[in-house]
Amino acid sequence: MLVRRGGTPAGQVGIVTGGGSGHLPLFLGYVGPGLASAVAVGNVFSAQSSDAALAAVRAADSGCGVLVLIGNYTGDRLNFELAADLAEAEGRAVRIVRVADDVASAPPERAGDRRGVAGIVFAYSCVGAAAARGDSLEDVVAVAERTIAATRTMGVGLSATVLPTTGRPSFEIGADEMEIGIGIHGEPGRVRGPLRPADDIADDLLDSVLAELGLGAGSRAAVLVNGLGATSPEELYVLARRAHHRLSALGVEVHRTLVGEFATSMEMAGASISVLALDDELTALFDAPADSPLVPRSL
Amino acid sequence: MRAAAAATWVADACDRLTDAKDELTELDAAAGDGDLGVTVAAGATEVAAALRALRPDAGVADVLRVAGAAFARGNPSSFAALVGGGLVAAARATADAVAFDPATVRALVATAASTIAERGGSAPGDRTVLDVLVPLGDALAASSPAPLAELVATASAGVNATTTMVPARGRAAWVGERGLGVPDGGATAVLRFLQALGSTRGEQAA
Repeated sequence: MLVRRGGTPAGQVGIVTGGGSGHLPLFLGYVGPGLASAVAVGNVFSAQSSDAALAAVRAADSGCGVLVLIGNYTGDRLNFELAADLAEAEGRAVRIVRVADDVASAPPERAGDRRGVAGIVFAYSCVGAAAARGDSLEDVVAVAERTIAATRTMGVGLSATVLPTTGRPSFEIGADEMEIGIGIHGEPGRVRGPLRPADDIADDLLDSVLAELGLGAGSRAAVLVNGLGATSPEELYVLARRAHHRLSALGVEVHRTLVGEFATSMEMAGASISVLALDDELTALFDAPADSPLVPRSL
Repeated sequence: MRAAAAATWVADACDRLTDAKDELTELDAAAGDGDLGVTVAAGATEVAAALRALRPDAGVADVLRVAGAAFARGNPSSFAALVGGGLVAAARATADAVAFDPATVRALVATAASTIAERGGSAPGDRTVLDVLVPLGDALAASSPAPLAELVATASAGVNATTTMVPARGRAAWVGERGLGVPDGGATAVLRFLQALGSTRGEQAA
């Protein structure tokens, strides 16, 4: 467990996150002013314990309640639900909101079953800012739900992660193959096929992401191009360029583009593109100050 | 039965339940990832220690909440968090009870089962712990107090029924029909717990 220095400032809702290790800077890197107050992590690709989850909730509670913001994974959820039950028995107010931004992991009619991936970074930024301006727990929950509803992500994997517990790759993939829609633990994606140029890959990812966001002329968006661990910044910027061109061609104002490693999968090669559809309030929250040693100041 | 006496009885049964570690590991390895033996043994050890540390004036809800938190603490698996969450929910549902009387036992089994079903997204027939808990709840609803031997028989029938079920939830779902012919480990763990209650206290009315 890691807690922001000084804890949650008085009068502010505490933000807690957590999950398995192996995704740095997710989850430990998102603790700090304007982000989460406390985080609980487990072993590589294993849920955090309910004990660590409860300790994080207690540490983050300044008396104004706690929002637990997590990815949509069974073990993470069950342990935080148990921790929330125990915290509520102590008289604390706790709400859990799950991020489910990975469009590849379930069709729109089962959007609630989707995995949470790099798009959680947008939620940290907006929710952390809402807490910092003194929003109530209910209002912070509403910001979380609104941000998540406006976020979509899709990724591509080019090589597997070697799990430290087994010493073996988490899945098999040829050197000349890629998998569109892969999860951040190597969960199967939508299509396995031969490698293609970066612009083609970006188009594939963006087609799925944009199909659900309803962005058009006059709308505004933020873009996050995320490396999965073994893909160079140069390659990520090639994807970012294509994303910018595609959105601009639609008449969408690209408010800001973040490029780097935000939610990795150990040494998996690959990337994901997340898009957040912004309105005026979310823009202000997204632009509010946030700071952590592990993520760029611009977040 | 007063809560403190029940806590001592359950703690003794949990000591005995750790004997099932290897059996549960084997059952789980046949259909899941094989960590159930560790989960149940570590959880039972934590529960026994936590219940023995309870104050003598602890109520029913204290016993259930402490037991649920302790079981989940043993090994951070989904099974442990589900069962722990079921017990903590049962604590909320029995907040006013001062003793483990028949109505309280009925309420705690029913609440634990419905909470596990909701959070785990599973139903009877999915080859889970519910295939024992739901029949136990039904048996208690039909006639309670029920002799412990009768509940053990109900649980045993539930475990046997899981051998013909195709896993629908948890990691066991990944192997699908490979689990056929083997009883579900989670359901078996409940049966072994009830049998441990029987062997540590003889014939009791539940």
